[in-house]
Amino acid sequence: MATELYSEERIIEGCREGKREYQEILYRQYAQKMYGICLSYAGNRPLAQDMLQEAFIKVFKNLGNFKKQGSFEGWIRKIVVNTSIDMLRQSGKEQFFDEEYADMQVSTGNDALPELQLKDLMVFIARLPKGARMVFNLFAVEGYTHREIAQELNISEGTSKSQFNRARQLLRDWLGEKSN
Amino acid sequence: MNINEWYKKIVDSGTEAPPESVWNGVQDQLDVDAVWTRIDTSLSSQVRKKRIAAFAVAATLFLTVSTLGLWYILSPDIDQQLALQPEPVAVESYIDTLPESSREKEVVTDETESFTIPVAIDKVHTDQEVLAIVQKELAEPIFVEEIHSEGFIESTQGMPPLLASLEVNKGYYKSLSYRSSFVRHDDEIDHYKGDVSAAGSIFSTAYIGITGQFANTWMLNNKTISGLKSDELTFTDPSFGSNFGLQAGTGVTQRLGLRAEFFWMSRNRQTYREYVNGNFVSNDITLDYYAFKLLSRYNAGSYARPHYLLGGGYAGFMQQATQVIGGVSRQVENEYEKLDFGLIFGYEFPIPLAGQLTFTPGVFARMGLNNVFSGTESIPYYLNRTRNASVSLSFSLSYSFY
Repeated sequence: MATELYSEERIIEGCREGKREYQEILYRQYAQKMYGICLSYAGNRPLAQDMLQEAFIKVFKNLGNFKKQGSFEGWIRKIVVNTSIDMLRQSGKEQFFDEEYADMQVSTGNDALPELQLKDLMVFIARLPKGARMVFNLFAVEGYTHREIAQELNISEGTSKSQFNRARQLLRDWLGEKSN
Repeated sequence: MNINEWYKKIVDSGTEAPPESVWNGVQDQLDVDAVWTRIDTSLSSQVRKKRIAAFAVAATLFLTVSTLGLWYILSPDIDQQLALQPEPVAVESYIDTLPESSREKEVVTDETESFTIPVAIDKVHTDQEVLAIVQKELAEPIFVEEIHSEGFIESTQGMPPLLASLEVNKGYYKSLSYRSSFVRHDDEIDHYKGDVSAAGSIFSTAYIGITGQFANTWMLNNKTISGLKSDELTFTDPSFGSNFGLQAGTGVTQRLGLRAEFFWMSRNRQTYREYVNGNFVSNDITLDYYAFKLLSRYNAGSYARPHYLLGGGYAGFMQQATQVIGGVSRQVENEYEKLDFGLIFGYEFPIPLAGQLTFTPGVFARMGLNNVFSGTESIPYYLNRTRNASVSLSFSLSYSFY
């Protein structure tokens, strides 16, 4: 079944009816992109695959709650992000957010950045502290404000900013090392 | 491009595909959810179906009993007709008006006297009809306290077709007795014909016939009983079977008779729906027997409206035993006993047809007395004691010889 033969509404309806072929169409349409998001949170592939699996199970179970008030991809993406954050929190008992870097100032210069594939970026993502990783992804990839991040993760705005800056600095440092 | 945009571009590039195991895991969970949803829905629907079935059975039984009861109560009989009679006529003045040639007057006591009215008729009548004939003969409405149909046997030689005897007492007719020597197509009246010495003896009446039954059958054991509960994963379904056979019967007394039956097909079935090796399938067990039945039959009604109650026993000899699970059939004769026996109770209502034929519908209940399960390699006989039982509608067509 080619995805272009079916409208988004038909695919959603078929998934709500529990028809496996429509569920597979939906999965294959969005899985690859959502996998990248999961990788950016997980830092390793096994955890990212668990996140993706759990997220799509939630997508199929909650299709009835999709009210068409935004894009369908955006709705799926939100489920994926929330699931990834929940599973990342459950994956370790360490404290995610280190207040030590609250006052860090980071250069905002637009230095040339190398062309990297996701698999290459994974190396850096895996090295990021989990708390900084979460904040950086929510800010840089999902476009959350620090206030929204603070509410989402139950931290202060200041912590969100410091964690974001830390992640960005580390990435710059590692990219600098790589170019050298 | 700043680092935020650079990072987002790479993350959203979707250049790495997840392994197929992720989709397999999603499917597995969806399958589990689907099965549990189906089980939950099925359990709920089973509860509803069982309630509906129970109400339907109760309503059917209530309607049947009510209808039969009303029919029996509302059927016109002599007592009702007598109740509608006008005031009794003074005997003295009335008897004097009767033609001398049409009656015999016999003084029985000082207070009673009787006279006989020979009436020419061409067939046997019921009490109600005899009363109407006598009324007509007397040309006056009469009130009779009692009506007797005399059951003695006399030769038909030289007897008038109908002899009605009125016994009068003071100011009213006390009783009407009549006797008839005509033969009815009813085995309860058959013994009216013939010698007195033959009255009420065996073979004074005889009939043969064919019979068919449509039965709701049960194999009663723990599994069947458990399957009737709504919270079980094994469901017991209603099962039905058909029986076909021959019957022969004879009268013993006026009300009692004996009947023997042979069924060349007597089927007992039980169907379940259950999980077998992870699959939800139908499990149907069918036991076919040759069956012999010996029943006594008692007329609880009147000669005009007989109602037969039957009781007796049966013995069944297994022809074959089959089990079908999920469409796959296998023979299971070695798991069940060759002999089954038990008790039978029933009710019949005969409907005379043309000539000597009688159509008799009825209902029967059968209960086996022995354990028919002989055991398997894994289940000994005492862990699955099973009895055959059934409730059936019966339809018979019989021919009466005399």
